[in-house]
Amino acid sequence: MNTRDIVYVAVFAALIAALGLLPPIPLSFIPVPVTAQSLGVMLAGSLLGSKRGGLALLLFLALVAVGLPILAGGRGGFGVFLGPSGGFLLAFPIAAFVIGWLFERSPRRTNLGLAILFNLIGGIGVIYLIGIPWLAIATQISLADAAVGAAVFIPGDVIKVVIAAIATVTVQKTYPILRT
Amino acid sequence: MTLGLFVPRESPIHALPAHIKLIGMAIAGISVFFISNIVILVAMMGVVMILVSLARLPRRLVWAQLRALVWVFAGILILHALLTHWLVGVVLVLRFAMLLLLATLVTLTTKLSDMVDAIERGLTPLKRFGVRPAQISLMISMAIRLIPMLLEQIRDVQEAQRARGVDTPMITLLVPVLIRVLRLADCLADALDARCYDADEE
Repeated sequence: MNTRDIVYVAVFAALIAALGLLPPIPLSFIPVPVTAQSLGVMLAGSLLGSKRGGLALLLFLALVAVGLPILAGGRGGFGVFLGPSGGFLLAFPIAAFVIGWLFERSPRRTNLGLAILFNLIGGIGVIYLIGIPWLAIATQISLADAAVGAAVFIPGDVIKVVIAAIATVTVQKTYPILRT
Repeated sequence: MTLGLFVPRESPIHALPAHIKLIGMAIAGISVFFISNIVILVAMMGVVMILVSLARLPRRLVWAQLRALVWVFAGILILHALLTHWLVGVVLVLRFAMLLLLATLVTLTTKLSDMVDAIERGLTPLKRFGVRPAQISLMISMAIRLIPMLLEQIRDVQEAQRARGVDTPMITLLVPVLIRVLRLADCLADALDARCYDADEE
């Protein structure tokens, strides 16, 4: 890693923290408020690529672990990883890595459709694939029950996927970091 | 703006070195999952409560960290009372509550800088696998410094847009914020390079 990579990782970890400190946006047609934090996961992967994006999220989790109250809702400290929703958090770096990996292999980085697809796979697919089994094991309920419980967040996440994809494509055109 | 949850107090828990607390918490975190005997769990919970009271923390702050999970605990208890056996729920909730309390205790009684130092020292043995502890602690300190700065950047963009009558939906906010952030990152990298920072230095 060169100096620029180190700085990008640190800056994006801080950005994800800052996004979590913004007040959540209540949407009338969704039962749960939408927080901007998981947007940061998708943006880090899309804009920084696999390695730097994954590292930015690892750094973000390290900041949470050392006790910064930067998770959406003002929580922080080691306790958050041990709870039933810890799996969703631990999935963040993997999700960012996967999104970055897909973008690095994409023939057209400024294609909105592809950007939405990549963010769907990483930002929803990977995160739920890890988070739901964790939730089921931690609370000893069945996988199906856990999936139903997590489903309320899906509409909000789909909106975030679209927002992240549009933002990524626009930024990629004006200020490309991922070069071929 | 102050970041971090540390509460300064004079107590035996505060005086413990950060790495001891971290190791202790890790051991407790692993061992608790091998214990299903409710009597032992209750006893362990008692010990944790005594440790918390030794730290003389304001109750309000400890509670603030736990509050979010009370409904989850209630959900686990009800679900297991209906589907399996209520004792299963009690054991699960005891485990989580104990670990959460312990983690909160460590977080509230350890200075941020001590925690970062402990992590840097803890990572030293990984040097031979290509991990650079100095690099990692630079990234941690840089990110901590940058969080309030980036919040300010976001507010700047929000204000600029509000002045032009845009009621800041996420998307119009994100693009200018991201470009500012990327530019900031490039400036920072140049500044580090100009001062001959060597990322690969041991």
